[in-house]
Amino acid sequence: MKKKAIRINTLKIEIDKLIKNLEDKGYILEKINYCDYGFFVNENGRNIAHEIEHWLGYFFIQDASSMLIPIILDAKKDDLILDLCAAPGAKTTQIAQMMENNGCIVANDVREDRIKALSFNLERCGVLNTIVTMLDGVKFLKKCNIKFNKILLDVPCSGTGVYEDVKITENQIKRLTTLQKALLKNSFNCLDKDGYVVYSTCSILKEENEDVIEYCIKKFGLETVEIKNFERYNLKESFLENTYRLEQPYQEKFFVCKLMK
Amino acid sequence: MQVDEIIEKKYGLGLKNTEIIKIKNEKVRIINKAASQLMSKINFRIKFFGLYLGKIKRNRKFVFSLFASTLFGKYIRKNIVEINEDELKSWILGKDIEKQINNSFEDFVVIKFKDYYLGSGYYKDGRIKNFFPTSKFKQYLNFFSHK
Repeated sequence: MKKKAIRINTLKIEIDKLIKNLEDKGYILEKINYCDYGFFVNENGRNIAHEIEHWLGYFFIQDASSMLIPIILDAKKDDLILDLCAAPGAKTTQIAQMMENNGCIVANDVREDRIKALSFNLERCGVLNTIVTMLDGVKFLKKCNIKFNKILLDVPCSGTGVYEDVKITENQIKRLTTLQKALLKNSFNCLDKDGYVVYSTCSILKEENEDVIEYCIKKFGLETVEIKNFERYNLKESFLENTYRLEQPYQEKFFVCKLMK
Repeated sequence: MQVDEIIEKKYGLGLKNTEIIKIKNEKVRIINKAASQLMSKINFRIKFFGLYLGKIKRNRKFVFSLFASTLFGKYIRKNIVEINEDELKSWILGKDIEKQINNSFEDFVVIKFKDYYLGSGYYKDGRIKNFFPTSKFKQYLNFFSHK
């Protein structure tokens, strides 16, 4: 059974203060080993989503696996970051928090309803450093005139790492993987020299993960980059070098890989 | 007087390294300088930027939005009113609060409960008029039943 987790929004409140307030209400918090502001929550019969702190943006309900991806991206204060498939904004708001509202994030997604959810979460979390655009991802990457030093490609996928009973056809997988390859290939048009891309999915399918990376390495000369101390993040190295899977039983399953040209 | 000067004077809050941009109907948004500079360079239409800061009102008054108050509240030095738990219940339900501060004082204030900031009200004659966006948070109004 998945463990509920929250990310304390350090843009708005100190970690210790919020922990104390939640523990006073009866919640039991257990720190996530790789994230100082991330906690598993035992709700003890309550519902943390209904707490005033949640809807005022003092914390964000976010799976522990999802919290790992911005940590791998290693967002820093003066970065210029592209989050290409940003909605609904869990990772975007975390990146903004890591940057302490400095630097700049361009957060993009493809549909109006997704942009609405993303914008609301950015407002709720008090994010000052983000610009939101609404474009097809491949079009964005082909036409954008800005070079980013870090790009997060948390691509559309089957979601088989989140929803165990997802039924997906071969045609659907083919459409997804075609898109994933196009996004990864074109992401390097917008990357600064010495920049890197973090590719991630919440899929357990090899076709959306290692196969996409292997294809792009062979066809476009991309290189994967080792994630140092990956065991600390509960990651396991996959059969393809420098690609990693997160497969803890109480978290959503993720795939992640860092690439440079 | 510029918006940031009004805010500094009224609330004791200095907004460094940011740009305040007027949108429509007295509303202003705030964004950091780096993102503001990028906005002028990027070749795509921008759907959304920064944070909704609040509204400029006549007579050089300024009212913070709910989420701006939660972000900047801990840095605000003036025009803050602390409320207790009973007053919090009324506030979230959109009711005005009776509270004696100062007979001659009349202005917008930021509401604070423990470590949290809950948007703005207008204080006059022992009463804080409620500006909390209750309709946006209807789904959360049963939060008291979960205590």
